[in-house]
Formats: sequence, C-alpha cells, structure tokens
Amino acid sequence: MACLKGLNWLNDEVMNIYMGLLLDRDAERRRAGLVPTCHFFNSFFVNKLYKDAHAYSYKAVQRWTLPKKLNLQNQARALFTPFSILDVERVIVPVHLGNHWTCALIDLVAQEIVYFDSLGGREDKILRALRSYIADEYRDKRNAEVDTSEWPIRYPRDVPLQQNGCDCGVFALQFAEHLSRGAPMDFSQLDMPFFRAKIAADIMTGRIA
Amino acid sequence: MAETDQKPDINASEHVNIRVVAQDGNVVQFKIKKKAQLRKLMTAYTERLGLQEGSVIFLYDGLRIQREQTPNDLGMEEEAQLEVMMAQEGGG
Repeated sequence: MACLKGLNWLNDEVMNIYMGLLLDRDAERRRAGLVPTCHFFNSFFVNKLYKDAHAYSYKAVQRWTLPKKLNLQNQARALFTPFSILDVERVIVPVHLGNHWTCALIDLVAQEIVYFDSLGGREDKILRALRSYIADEYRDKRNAEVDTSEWPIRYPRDVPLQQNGCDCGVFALQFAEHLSRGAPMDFSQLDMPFFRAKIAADIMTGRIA
Repeated sequence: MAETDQKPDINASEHVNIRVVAQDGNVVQFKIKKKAQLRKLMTAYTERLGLQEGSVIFLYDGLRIQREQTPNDLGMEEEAQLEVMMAQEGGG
C-alpha cells in the first residue's frame, strides 16, 4: 500500500488487489445491466502464458479459467451458467515487463487485441500469445475451432503517456479501469496524483468508488 | 469375509503430494497433510532456495495462496501443482 504514495513504483500486490476490485465491480455492473462485461487476469498470467519460458504455453494457464476457479473470483455469480471467460466482451490483462507495467485488451466483440503502454512500446510476441490463447481457450472449454490468427493487433496512437519513470503502474490500472467501462482515455500525467489517492482509497474501502 | 475386504488407506488420504514449480521450471516436491496450513510449505520452500519470504508469491491455478489456507480449503488433488512467482514491481 505504501507504494501508492508519492512517486513510488507499484508492486504486484496493489496491481492484483485492484484487478480483484475490478472483478467485483464487473459483477455489480452486470447485475445493473451495464456493458461491456469483462474478465480481468492477474499480473502473473502473461508470465505463465508466454514470458517465463519465452515460448507460448497454453497448458500453463489452462486451469486458471475452469468454472470452479472463476467461481472463486465471484465471476460465475454474475449471470452466466456455465461460465467461461469467452462469455464476456473484454478480457483485460495487466502485463509486467521487468520493471514496467502495461495493459492489454482482448476484445472478443471487435475480435482484436489492443495494447496500452504509457511509454508507447510494442509487444508483438506477447499479444500474439494472447491471440493464440483465445483460440486454445475455445478449443479447450467450448470444443470449438475459432481462428484468431487474423485478429488485428492494434497500438492506438492516442494512448496517454507518462512523463516520469514511476507512474506506469498507475497508468496501467487506469487503462484497465477505463477499458472496463468503455470510457475514453481522457487522462494525462497530471491526473496521476489524484489516481494514486483514489486507488489507495478504493483498496482501503474494498470497492471502486 | 468382511475382514479380507480392503479397508481404505486412511494415511494415504490424509496427505497430498504437491509439486512446487518455479518460473525457471525447477520443481520441488512436498508431501503435506491436507489439513495443514500451507505456511509450512512456503517457509520450507523459501528456506531451501535461500529466498526471502515475501519475495515470492505462490499461486494455485492462478489464484494467490494465503498462508493460512490448507490443501483442503483449496480443493487440492493428488499431484497438485503450485507456481512460485517472483514479486513484481514497475515504474516506467
């Protein structure tokens, strides 16, 4: 929690607690009939799927999305039975790159992968792994063949950028939060002190205000 | 006749074998009681690898394990696999 103060770097704990709060809020939003419906992975997902072995491994994350596992994350209560992450519109994935945080979006409606990096970077290999993941997930959980190999990988030009070397985690969480409401990325470096305080308050109260 | 029937092996079902897999693929095996808190396994693992406790995170099927949880709490089956992840940090 202390890492939210001042200009400190954010750690996995804060990132993943916040992802948990986003999952909770998504369940609330679904009950209220709001879209887009979302699933959020934690910051270790990309490590297991691709990064650690520097090779794609569906098997390493195959069990992460079993209905009973999603149930533990409150997701199954949110209207779908049987529940699969393929039922949502957006899968939001925080990405950890050594000492940098970014955010990827798997848009299951538009059928594209979109990447949000506050330093303007590109990660083709990771994004291609996410694309393959969706095809494997369809095969494993739905017994369906879905060709995702032509889904575009997109790097939006108007992604808000950080102007320092310490706020990427805050940017990544805001990318995730805005994506989950379908809101425009209408923030900048100037908003970061406010977002740090807000994230700390949300974590303290256990709910995204 | 009843005496020759096989009785369920109570000892075997009290324990569970757990594979702990590091990010580099290194595997350490543990056998612990299903009712025992996983803190013991976590401490044993970090000591064995000379890691600081708190520098790593243990996941079961992607979900972070809390120290007080037991294999029973988590519905762990035989040869359950835990993943050890290095804590992450990032600024830019």
